[in-house]
Amino acid sequence: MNPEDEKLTLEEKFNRDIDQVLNIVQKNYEEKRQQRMTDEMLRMFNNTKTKSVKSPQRRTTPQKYQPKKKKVSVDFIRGSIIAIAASAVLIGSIGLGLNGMKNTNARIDFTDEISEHVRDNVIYTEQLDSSGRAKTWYYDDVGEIARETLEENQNVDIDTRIYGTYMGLQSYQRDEYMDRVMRNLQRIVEENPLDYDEETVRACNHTTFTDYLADLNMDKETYIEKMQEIATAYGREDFDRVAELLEDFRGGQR
Amino acid sequence: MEEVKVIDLEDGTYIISDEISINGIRYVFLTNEKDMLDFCIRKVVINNNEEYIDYLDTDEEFDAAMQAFLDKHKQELEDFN
Repeated sequence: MNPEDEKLTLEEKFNRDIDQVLNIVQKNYEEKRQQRMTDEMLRMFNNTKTKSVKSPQRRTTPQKYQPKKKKVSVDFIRGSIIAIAASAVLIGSIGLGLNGMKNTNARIDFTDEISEHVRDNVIYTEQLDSSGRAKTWYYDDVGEIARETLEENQNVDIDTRIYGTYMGLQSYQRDEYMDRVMRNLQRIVEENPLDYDEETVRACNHTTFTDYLADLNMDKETYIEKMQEIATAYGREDFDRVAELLEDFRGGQR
Repeated sequence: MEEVKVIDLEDGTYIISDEISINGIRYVFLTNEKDMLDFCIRKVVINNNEEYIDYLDTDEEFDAAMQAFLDKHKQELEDFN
C-alpha cells in the first residue's frame, strides 16, 4: 500500500477517490463543450473560406471591379473590421486547438494500444456490502501482465511499454500493482537475460516502481509528463521526436 | 453614416471593408451589408488595363490575407476588447 494512503482515514480516502471521479467528469464535460464551440466556429470559417477560395464546383470567371458608393452606419463599418480581425485571431486559435486535439487523440489511442494487455487481465466481480451492490475488480495474474509487457508491442521501446502497463492498471492502488509488475519483470528477465537487449535488462532491474523512477531521476509527475509526450510522438508516428525524447530514459541515469 | 464603396456579388451587396496589398497583389475584404459576420476575400487582377476581382487560389493565400488584415487592424481589435 502507498505509504501516503496509510495516513488517510477511510473517509479521507473516499473523498479523494470522489474528487478524482469528479475531476474526470468535469474534464470530459469541458472537452465536449470546447469541441462543440470549435465545431461551430469551424463551420463559420469554412463558409468564409469557401466563399473566398477557388473551387472546382464553382464558376470562377472574374467579375469587373466597379465599386459603387453607398452610405453605411459607422458602427457597421467598425463592426465589420472587428469581425474580420477577430476571425483571423480565432482561425489561428482553432488551428492550434485542432493540433492540440489531434495530439491528445494520438496519445490516447497509442496509450490504449500499449495498455490493452493490462485491461485484458482485469477481472470484474460484484459483491454486496453494507451499502449495497458494489463493483470490485482484481488482476487475475500480475505475472502474465509483466510477461505481456515484455512480449507484446516489441516495435515500441521498453520504457514506453512499461508506461503503457502503468497507465493500463486501475488507478486505485495503481502503484502497488505496478510494484508487483516490476518485481515480475525483474524475475522474468533474470531467468533468461540473454533473451533481452541491454535496454530491457536495465529497465527491468527494479523491485519497485519507485526504484525505477529513482533510477530515471524523475518524480512521478515529471515521468508522466515526459511519457505523455513520447506517447503523443509515437501516436503521430514522429519517430525522430520519439528518439529525441527517449534520451532522458536511455541516458546515463542507469 | 459614412460613405463607403460597395460591390455586388452573386449573393448580395458587399461593403469593401478594406483593401490590403501583399507582394504586389491587392486583396479586397468584403462584408455582406446585411450581416457583418458574413464576409469573404477577393483579389484584384488586371486584364487589358481593366480591374477584375477573382477568388483566391489556395487556402494558404486566404490565411496570409487574414493574417495581413489582423496585422493592420490589431490595435482596433485590442481597443475593442
